[in-house]
Amino acid sequence: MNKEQTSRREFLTKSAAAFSFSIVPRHVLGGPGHTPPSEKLTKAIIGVGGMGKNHFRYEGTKCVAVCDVDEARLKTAVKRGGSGCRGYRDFRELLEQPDIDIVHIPTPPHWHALISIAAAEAGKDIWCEKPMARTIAESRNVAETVRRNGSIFRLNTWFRFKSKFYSSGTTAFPLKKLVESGILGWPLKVTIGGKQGFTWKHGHRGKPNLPPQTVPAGLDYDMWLGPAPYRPYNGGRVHYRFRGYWDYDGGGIGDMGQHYLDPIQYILNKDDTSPVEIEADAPPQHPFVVGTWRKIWMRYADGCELLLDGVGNIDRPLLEGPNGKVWRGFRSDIPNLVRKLDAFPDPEPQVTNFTEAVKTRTQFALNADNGHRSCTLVNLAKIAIRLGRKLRFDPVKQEFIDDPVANDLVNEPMRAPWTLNGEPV
Amino acid sequence: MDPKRRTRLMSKQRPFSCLLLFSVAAFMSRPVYAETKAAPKPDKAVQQEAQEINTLVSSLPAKSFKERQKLYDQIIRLGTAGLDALCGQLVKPGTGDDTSARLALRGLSYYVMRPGAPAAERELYVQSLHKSLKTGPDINVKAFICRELQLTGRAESVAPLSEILTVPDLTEPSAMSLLAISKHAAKAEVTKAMRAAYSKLTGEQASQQVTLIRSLAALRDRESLEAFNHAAASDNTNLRRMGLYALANLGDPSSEASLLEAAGSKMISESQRVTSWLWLYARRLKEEGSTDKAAELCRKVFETRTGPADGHVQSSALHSLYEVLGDGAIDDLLASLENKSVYVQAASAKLLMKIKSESVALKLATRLKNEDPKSRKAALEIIAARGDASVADTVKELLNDKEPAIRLQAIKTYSEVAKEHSLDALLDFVQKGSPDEQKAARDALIRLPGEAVSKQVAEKLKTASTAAGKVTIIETLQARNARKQVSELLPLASDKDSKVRGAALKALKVLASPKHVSALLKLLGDTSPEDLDAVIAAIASAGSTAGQDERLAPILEALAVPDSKARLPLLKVLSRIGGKEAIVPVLEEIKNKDEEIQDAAIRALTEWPDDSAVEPLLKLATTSENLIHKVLALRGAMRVITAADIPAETKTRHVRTAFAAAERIEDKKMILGTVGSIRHSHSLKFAAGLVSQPELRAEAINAVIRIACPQGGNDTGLLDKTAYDVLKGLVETVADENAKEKIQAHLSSFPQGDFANLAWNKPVRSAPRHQGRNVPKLAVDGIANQSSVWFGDGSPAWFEVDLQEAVKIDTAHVYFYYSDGRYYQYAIEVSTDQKTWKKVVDRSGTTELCTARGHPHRFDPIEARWVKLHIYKNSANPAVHVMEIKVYAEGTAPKTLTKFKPNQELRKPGKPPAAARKAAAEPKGKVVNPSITPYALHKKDENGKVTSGIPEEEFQTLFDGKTLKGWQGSLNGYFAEDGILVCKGGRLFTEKEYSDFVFRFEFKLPPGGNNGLGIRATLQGNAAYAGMELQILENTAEKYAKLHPYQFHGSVYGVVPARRGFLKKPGEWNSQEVIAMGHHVKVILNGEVITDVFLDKVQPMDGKAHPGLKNRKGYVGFLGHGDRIEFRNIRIRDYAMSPPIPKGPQHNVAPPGYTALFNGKDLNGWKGLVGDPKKRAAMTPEQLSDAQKKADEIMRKGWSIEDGVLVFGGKGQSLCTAKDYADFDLYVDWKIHESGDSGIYLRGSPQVQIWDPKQHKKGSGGLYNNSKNPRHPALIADNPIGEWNTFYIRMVGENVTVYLNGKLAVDDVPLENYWDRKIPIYRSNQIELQNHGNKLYFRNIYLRELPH
Repeated sequence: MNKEQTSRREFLTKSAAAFSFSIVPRHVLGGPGHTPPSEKLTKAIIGVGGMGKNHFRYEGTKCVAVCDVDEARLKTAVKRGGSGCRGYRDFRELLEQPDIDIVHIPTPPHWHALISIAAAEAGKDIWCEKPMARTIAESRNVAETVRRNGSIFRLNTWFRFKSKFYSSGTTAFPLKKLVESGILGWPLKVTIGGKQGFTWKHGHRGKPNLPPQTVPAGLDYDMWLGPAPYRPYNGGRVHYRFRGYWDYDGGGIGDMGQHYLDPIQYILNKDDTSPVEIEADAPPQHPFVVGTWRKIWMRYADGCELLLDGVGNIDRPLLEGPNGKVWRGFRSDIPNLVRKLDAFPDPEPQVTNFTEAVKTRTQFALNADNGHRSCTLVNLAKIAIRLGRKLRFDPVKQEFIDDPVANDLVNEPMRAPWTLNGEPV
Repeated sequence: MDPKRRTRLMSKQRPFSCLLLFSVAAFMSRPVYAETKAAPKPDKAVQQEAQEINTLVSSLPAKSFKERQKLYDQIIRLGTAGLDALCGQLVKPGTGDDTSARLALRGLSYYVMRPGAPAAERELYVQSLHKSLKTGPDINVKAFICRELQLTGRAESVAPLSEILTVPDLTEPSAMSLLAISKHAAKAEVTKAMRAAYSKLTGEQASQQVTLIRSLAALRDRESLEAFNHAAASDNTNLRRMGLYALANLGDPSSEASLLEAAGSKMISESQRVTSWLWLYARRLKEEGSTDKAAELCRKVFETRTGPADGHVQSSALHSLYEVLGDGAIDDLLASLENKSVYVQAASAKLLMKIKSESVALKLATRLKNEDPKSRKAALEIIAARGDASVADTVKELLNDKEPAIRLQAIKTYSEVAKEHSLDALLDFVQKGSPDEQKAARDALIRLPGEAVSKQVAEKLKTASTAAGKVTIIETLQARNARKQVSELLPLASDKDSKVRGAALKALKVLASPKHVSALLKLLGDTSPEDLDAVIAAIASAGSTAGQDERLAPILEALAVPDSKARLPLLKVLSRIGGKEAIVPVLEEIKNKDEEIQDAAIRALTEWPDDSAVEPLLKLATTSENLIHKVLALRGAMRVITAADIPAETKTRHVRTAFAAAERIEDKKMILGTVGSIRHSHSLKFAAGLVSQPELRAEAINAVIRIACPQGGNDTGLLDKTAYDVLKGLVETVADENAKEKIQAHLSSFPQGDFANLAWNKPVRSAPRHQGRNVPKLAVDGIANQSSVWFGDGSPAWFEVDLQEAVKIDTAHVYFYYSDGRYYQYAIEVSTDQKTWKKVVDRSGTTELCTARGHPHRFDPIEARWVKLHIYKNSANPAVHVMEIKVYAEGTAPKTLTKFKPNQELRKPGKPPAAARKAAAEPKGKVVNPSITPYALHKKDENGKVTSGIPEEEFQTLFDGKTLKGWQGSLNGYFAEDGILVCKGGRLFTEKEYSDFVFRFEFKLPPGGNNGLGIRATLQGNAAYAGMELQILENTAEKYAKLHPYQFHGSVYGVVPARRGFLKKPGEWNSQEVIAMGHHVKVILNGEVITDVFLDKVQPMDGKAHPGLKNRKGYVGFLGHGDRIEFRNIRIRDYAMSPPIPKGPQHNVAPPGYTALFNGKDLNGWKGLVGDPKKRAAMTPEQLSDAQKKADEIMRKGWSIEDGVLVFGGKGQSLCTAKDYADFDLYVDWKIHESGDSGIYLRGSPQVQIWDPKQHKKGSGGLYNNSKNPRHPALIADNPIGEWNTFYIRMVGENVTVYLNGKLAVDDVPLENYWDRKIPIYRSNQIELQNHGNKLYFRNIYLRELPH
């Protein structure tokens, strides 16, 4: 292991860490005969196909390595990475490299958990794509491993702390403030769907009965499948199309779910819990292939409700409580709501700069713990769609109540040799 | 069956034993399963259930949850036979579509596991899965079954799953299922099975070993320790790591050394993984009670892994240590706070924050006295997060620490631990601290919980010594929303320090309520001028949400004071409050003699926030003699008018009043400058009226433009008749180029010159409303084209225009969507009161096609305000589409309309361009028809002319030359004359329907003549879409120069183009033959093929829906278009399907139309098999002839005739017809023995399957060798083994239809080319009876060739 490079890592974090006062002047380290440590953090991107391309541009870091199981894509990505960017076919080899600070994981979702865990075990910080994981057990395991290793983790969805909260015409911040103010009363109902400004990408539907095809040269299909069950190769399964199969993701709810639901968990102050009842209105699903759905309903223990509208015909406010409602664009039936809110304190500030979070070892606003909980909503929805009946969930044990079939989907086993850490297989 | 796989499959599985059925039945308690108790069922019943399953499965996925549950219930009720049949539908991926079977099985898995399901259902279902696990056709299918057992299996599934544990590719799925089952009280059995399976594997099966070790690891099987150790020492990376994982998960103390060694491995990725498993191992040790050992391990790792990149390892070691020891780890954690690694510092700090124990607080408190400031700060941060009240005093000491950063953190921490007790200290900082400390203290103050805190904070105002301190306290109160502390704030509004005053007034503005108004009013008197506005604002906004009255009363009271000067600021307050009540005293003051107060009152009025000031201001402007007042009033009036929420008409009325009051030219200009914001025809008229005044002209034009023309964004400007007239009148005289350009631009967006259309832009109503964005308004927007349409989502429908005043009208012009040749049936009514309606147009029976010109209707002048269009029918679809409706007053309709003859399509094509003329006159035969493929096969007569080759005598005459007997439809549009059928117009159809046929006729066209031949047409609807129209068109006429390719003679209209150039000259007789067999349509014109197409292989060229292409039968007829066309010699040869069982007088004697291929006596007409079509094609004629001779010899040995039956002894080769056949109908009777197997090869290619359905679970008749298309029959229709079966097979093009014993087994499915999958089946080749190595019987082999 290269001692210089790794101490650079400690240096970078130390120089800005919460418990230190002395900023080491650069020249002390950068004397003659020394390579001065770059102040820029380095990153590696694992999975450089569809979404991975976007991860080059996130600022504050320099891309030093990329990884993909598709040779052609890897080649393009190495070029895109510019000088000094190395290519790897196996992420485990990439994680052994000491000069990588942050690992970006824009792979299909069935790989998110395993790579996140391996990255945390390698002492890397993590920037993972949504949805956080394919099952509840997986994201739970990620949260646990990340916490244990002290990694800084963020999910690549922004709406908890930045940007208009999808097309709702408002950021999450004033909604959070409103909920904290108690003006709306309690419990609250949240509706997200077309009429509230949200669109589910229902186009991510797979095809049943794919005939086997020859695996194209340059694609490591076994590695692409990874922990997912073995199925014969078909081009309709991989790149871009994986969202149409339960083995890898869950269609529109998998793609957009965490974008929409993570801010809701934050707004409702549910970051450490999950709903207790879930029901989906959906046509019967194929065992492997994701179909469409119409409505998903969830209820928390305190009576807060969540309605996901996949049809776009539910004309309800975005947020409604016993004392008032808020529609898209922060319109409300409460007069002078914005002025009234002025008198209330702002919600706790969030850490929203990832590189700063990495340097100071502080939790990012959207981290593995609350990310696991918001991803749980996505996975609950998926299970409800697949089973087509009402389910009861225990948010403490994080399993369904008296329902072995549903619990079978809480922790879908991984194909050997891949395993989670210490969870029952 | 695939001949290549013959031998492998010859070793067959025995039919499933019925014993299992009994054992299953024994479990059952519910009577519904009684039927399955019956002993082995006769085969017929099994078949029946298989069919029933098909029906049930085809209803999946059901529409609702309830319906779905019902279907699953029905499936379960079919019992074992039904479930077996369902499992039997699973096929190897890529060999057919078993989507619905998989869907059904997954649904059943969920269904039988639903809460409260009877156990017997699950048991029944699982038994069928077990069977399928044994007999499934493919690894993939078996893996699928495993997955279902994972959901549904219990102890009884352990044995069948264990059997396949060592099968390559099934280890993983079966192990997963067993693991799932192990959770349900079958752990011991599963573990045993896994162990046994593992022992059978060798090192060469490493990946299977990995799977089993993974599974045994999950089961934490102690007896496998040796196997785990063995795996952990393996050279195979995956196996070694899985072994290490297993050891860690088992937590046997003997494994520690190997785990630690692996954790220190040089292979970094292995070291990382195993290190992570060390914590798993530690957890297991603790579970076993070896807490000390576990703690020792964690400490050991923490102490040894100190490399610069190992911070996270130490972090996780600390986490584990805490997990193992709980509070016992506190000292380790505290010690780690000073670790050199930031990871470790952060980890220990976070853990310490989490630990509840009081001792942590005390130990941290001692650290607050440490020398090292870093250490003190860390302790402070942790204490803050923990909120330890017990150490508040120690923390307090640090408020005076010499390090500024420590002081800042101490402020925060102290407020967290001491809560409200920290107030004094915080306020001290607020007053005396550095700016950073002030901020920190204030942030802490704002967040301190409890109402009491606000009170205490307010108390401090009295003792606060500095202005900055007071300001901070005031800001804090404001941020805390301390409404109860307003009384403490009020005195500060007159504090001597201006910053304090300012802050207090700002806070009062937010916090004050109406009850504070009096107190605030008192401030008004002696406030310094710079604070006046702030005081006024505070009064005006005091509790503004609570209504105005409460605020007004004290103000009005204050106004009553005699001192007029004191009233001045009050007037200003009133002008902020606004409303009708507040205005009264202001108006009073206007009358005041005191000029100063009068002036103030007028200014208050001009600033009034609502329209209650309009009238007083206008009155003032009109009556005041004071010029300044007048000007102020005018400006104020215009401001209030334009801002007010009142109708534009009212606004304009006010503007006119104001204008009349204005005396100076500047004021008039000001009014014109403001009026532009009132966007209405009334204000427009006002501005336009002033254009003629030279001194106001420029401003008036500007105002007109601002009112009428678009002002950017989505603004469309004014689009009514007034705007049009004003702008039109103005455009020529405007000198300013810029203005002119704007006006011209806007004028171009009006529907030019059609303002006589009264319906334009008028209010509309409709039912149904509309679909998507196609709102009703689009039908009165002046744009009569197909992109601006009201789309009513259903018919009958109505559409009503409100002309807004009663007018005498005489013309209505309706434009319907037109481009696909549809017609609408409709009526128009008018009314003056919306109650009584008078019908002015009735077109409820028309079939006139719609065109771009629409339908103009002229009627006697009638008084109308509402015009209503009723739409009864759209011939194309259930929705209605109206492009535009226009209504004209008497005598105002455009001239073009009065000339236009209603309800008649006018066609005046101009001279076509030269290029088009050239294209129309293309030389004969040059145009290639893309639909004529190499797949085409034509017969020619002796003159080289193409023909169907069917003898004339087989045809049936359809037209007797004298009458229209046998025809239906427009009998008045056609007449018979000298053996000729003459068309005048309309559609004439045969009385009978025809599916497959050859149609011969002759026809003579006038120049430009247009007709069409409808085939498989319906009597209703447009034959070109609801059926098919084969164009009959004299297309050389100039007016057809611009035709689409699919419109020329012989084209399948809109779908397939024909070759051009074979029509005879107008006036000469053409002869045409149309072959319509299945999907095959061929048109032969004067002996040339002009169209030859398989309809299932083409997409309509016009992009429209042609549902008629799928019609299997329909009427044949002529589709007149109003031209005189002559027809003669109209005859047809019907090739409808024959009865599926032939009715011959005796065996081997063909029914009429058929030829017996087998004569019942010898092998005449048959030959032996030589190679395959590919090989035969490669042979020279000599080689072929030699090979044939040898093959014939073999044939004679293998095939014999016994008593009129063709018998194959079981040895030899397939039997082939001597001749090749293209399209044909074929009957074959066949018989096999048990496990027998054969097939009918069509065009030299396998095959229509013959086999023993008991053995294969599928019936005979399927196209077994298909890979892309279905390969199995829809049902099992076989007669019991040993009885005769009858095939009726039709083959047209690539497609094959098979009836077995009278039942439809295969419906129109392409037969793939087995010998070369890249190309379609050969167009013509021999028919073969397949040798499959067993005894076979055939007879009654009849064939009829079909035309092509």
